[in-house]
Amino acid sequence: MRSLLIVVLVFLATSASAQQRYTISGIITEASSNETLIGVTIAVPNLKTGVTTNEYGFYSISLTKGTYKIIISYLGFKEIVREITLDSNQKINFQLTEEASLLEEVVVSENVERLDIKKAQLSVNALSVKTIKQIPVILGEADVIKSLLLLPGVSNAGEASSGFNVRGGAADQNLILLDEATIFNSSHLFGLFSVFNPDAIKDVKLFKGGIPARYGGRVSSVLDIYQKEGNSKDFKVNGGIGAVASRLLIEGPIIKDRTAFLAGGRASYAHLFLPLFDINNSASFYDLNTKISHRIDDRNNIFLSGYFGRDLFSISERFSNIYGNAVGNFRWNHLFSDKLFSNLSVIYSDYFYGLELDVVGFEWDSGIQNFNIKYDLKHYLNDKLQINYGINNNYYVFNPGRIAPNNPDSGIIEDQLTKKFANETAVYVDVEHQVSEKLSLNYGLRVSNFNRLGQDELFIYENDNAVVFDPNTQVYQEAIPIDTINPGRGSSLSNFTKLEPRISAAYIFNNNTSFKASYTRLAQYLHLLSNTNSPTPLDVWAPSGPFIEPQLLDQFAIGFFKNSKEGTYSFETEAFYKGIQNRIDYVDGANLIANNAIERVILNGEARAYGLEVLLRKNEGKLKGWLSYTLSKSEQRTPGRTATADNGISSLETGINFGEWYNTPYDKTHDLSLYGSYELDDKWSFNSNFIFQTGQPTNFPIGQFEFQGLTVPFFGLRNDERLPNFHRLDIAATLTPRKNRKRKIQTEWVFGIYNVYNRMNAASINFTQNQDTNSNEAVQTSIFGIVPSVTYNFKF
Amino acid sequence: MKKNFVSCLFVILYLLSCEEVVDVELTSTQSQLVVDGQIRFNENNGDPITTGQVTLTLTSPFFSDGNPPAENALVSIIDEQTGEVFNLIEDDPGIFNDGFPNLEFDRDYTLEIVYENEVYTATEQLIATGTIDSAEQDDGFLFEEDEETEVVITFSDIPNERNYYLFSFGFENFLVTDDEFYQDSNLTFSYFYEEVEPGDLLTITLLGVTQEFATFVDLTLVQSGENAGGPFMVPPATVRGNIINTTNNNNFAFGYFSISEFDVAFVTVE
Repeated sequence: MRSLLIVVLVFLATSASAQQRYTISGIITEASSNETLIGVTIAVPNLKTGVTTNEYGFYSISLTKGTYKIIISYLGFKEIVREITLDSNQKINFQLTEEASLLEEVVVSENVERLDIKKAQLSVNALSVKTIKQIPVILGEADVIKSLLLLPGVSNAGEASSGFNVRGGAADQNLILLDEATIFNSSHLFGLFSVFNPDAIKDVKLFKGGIPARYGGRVSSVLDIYQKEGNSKDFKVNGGIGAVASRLLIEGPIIKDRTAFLAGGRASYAHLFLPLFDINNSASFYDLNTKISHRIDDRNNIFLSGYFGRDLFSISERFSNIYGNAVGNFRWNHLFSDKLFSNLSVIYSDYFYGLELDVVGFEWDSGIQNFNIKYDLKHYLNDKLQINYGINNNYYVFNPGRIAPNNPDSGIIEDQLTKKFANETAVYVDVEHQVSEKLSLNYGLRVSNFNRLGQDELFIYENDNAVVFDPNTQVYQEAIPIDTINPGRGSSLSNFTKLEPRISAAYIFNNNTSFKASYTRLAQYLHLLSNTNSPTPLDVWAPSGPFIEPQLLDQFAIGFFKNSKEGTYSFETEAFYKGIQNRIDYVDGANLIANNAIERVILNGEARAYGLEVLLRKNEGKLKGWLSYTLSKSEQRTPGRTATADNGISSLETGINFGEWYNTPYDKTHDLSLYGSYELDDKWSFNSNFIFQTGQPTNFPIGQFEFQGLTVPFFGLRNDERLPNFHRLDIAATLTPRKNRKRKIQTEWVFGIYNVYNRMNAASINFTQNQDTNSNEAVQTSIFGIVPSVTYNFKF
Repeated sequence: MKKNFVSCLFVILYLLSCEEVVDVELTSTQSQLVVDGQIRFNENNGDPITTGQVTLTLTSPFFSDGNPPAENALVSIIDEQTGEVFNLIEDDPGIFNDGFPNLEFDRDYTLEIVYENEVYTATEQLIATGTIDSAEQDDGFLFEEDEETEVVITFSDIPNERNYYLFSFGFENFLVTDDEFYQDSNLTFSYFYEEVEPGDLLTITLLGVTQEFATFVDLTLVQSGENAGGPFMVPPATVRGNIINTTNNNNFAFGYFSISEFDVAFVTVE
């Protein structure tokens, strides 16, 4: 902490010695609700410079004495042009009003989704909540993650699969933040829906590369989502009734213009959609979003926010299952000066999985708890230089599982699998530097430290080798521990410190064209133990430690960005390469559930991915939309170790897949999405998307054998084959009744058709024996054919 | 704000989840030997029963009809303590039912197969099993009441050691379990038979197995079952057993040689 203070002082000193400058700073909000706006551009055209508001709506820019025209602009809002005579520090809060009618040919000169040519940041995609709500989705439930899938470099393991994959990375490599709190599981109902209620969300940003130093802990991407703060002017209600779920959000002032609350809820109808799974039982989910924000004075704001979500399943009361995230979060914004913004966050986040299996007579629960304290400072030195720095401490408790009898007659003996504990600390400095009119840089360094703390029942293995290889049968087996120790919680089992440099640069050819490049190193200390194509709710997180090294990523990306002159069209293309060290892989037959010593079934491997992404957007006009295309490769390998046997003879192990590179399950060679939105008139608008993806890697048997009457297929090299290509067209029409204009309640009907031409996309191909004919066959399962839906939305 | 609002719900929802048989072109490899060698033992109150069968087949392309027997092999069991060799008799092509020795605990037995001039071996010991205390029909069900028959099974673990068990329910249905969470206790669980008729005799066998064989059976079940694709697919593995080709290690044999003590219970469906 001391070194950080010194850093702060140095910066303060440099800024004091600089040329005499004055600062304009303030908060930019939406006029009708006082909701702060993220990413609003404050441009100073004469100087060809500008800033954007931060996550709390704050901006600050320091200029030399003079008179300037400044332009404040934001997607869908009326632009403000103001002339300012700068001869002292000024605090100016701006309020933006929404463009009144959809019909007007709005010329928006800046746009959250449109790319920012000048900023060094690349590999980032933003989606407005408005767009997210327009994209046609299955069953009409607007969905953040499903919308992200339409962007280049983002895919998932298919319909009804959890999580998402960014640039060939695994789902557990995404850092998902909701109001700065880590969300450990992003999906409801095995991925049919994501856990974010779109009504409660203000801003969604996905970093795929060039990840700024303020983020860390996951190697693939950062999905940074902010909830609304609540309307501090008027009491508002909005909601929707859909085919599977309904939602309601209320917000309003507690003290006008100072204190606001927001409470939102979403719940599915329990029994409605289980015919889908051919089960006569119940499955449902709900989530609650709450927030209170309070402005203490001009320099201090506090926020209290929470999220609670659960999925519930039960089958004939013999099996019941409940899981989900809970997040509680306190934040305090404090302005040290008009140039120095700070935010302190105290965050609790957990993921809980509970299961009751009455047929065997036990209850089971597992999960992870995270206590996080963060202090972030943003220092707006002048119009060319902004420095962000901060410190972050995460304490984790991992519960791999606890089992207990569910009735007095059960033979199950209560047992707590060994809990694990860890502490992760990071400090960072991140500089946004406009070096010249042509060149801007982001550079920073994150230093992270992970301390795996002591635990009960730690196994000790001969030669520290937890996985033994039998060269005769060529099978990996669990080593038998030679000792068990109980290091106290105060001790440290392993300690890792990683330097994570980040740099990105933009070179601007002219106002509309730039070239960008970045290098990112990231460390990930947590691993989701998952051996399936997409995560399952019962997967548990495990910390790095004596047998698991932290994952370490190096990513290089270059990109070319162009806006058409009028800004109607934008074009961006990026190429990336990334390599990940220490990606764990699982030996054949590894049992990951209720495994008290996971080190006995894992081997250390590596992963790599590379690709090319193209995104062409039309940002304005009645017809808007984009075309995104990704060509990529994502692979993984786990070579065998060189084992030295007792007799001194060394033999090479087979590794996994004979040590050869193999396609990860999320390797999609071609991934094309086309999204269009057309506003016909003030009554009707139409949205459509088309997706084409190379079939998911899979395995086909190369033969069969018989054992105990079972027909057992066997397979060759891993993920060598592919499912048929995936493609689908969805459409939606939104009807906004004209009588809305005369009344306070605003209503909207959304009619959607998912998978218009009823393509039977393969979710899987199973190779099994037909029980009637006893002959082998390949059976393809498709999840959704054509699915029409209607949703009714209202607000007042 | 309006205090009352009338909202209407109009849902059209067609959900079609579909399975269809598709044509898939598969590659195949040359055929390899498959060994299914099981010896089962019960003390039977001082009148020990030993039954065994070694079945030799060859692998075949997935879409071919059945697996051909591997004929004319020489198969024997070697008692490693006495050195005695017991030659097994090929009753049917590739099937050896006779000639098994009487078994003792804590003794190594080697299965030796000579097939097409290559020698395959596997060495195992007799693994003790737990006791089935009861097996009774009940009227619960999981998914479909009409098609399922519940059998409630209670069995006792062998005390003071880590054990792995294999339940065989007949109809090629198996369950692998270990005593991690019911050490030294007895466990009651329900098994749901599908499509059995009143009067059918259900045979429930409990076998003691090694951890390695438990893993092997688990993998075999996963790969022969429904789990081959989709979001919850586990990467398929080449299911390697404990049969070693001592002549040419690359030409390995599939399958397993296992020696288990067994306990058995019968339930007549009512």
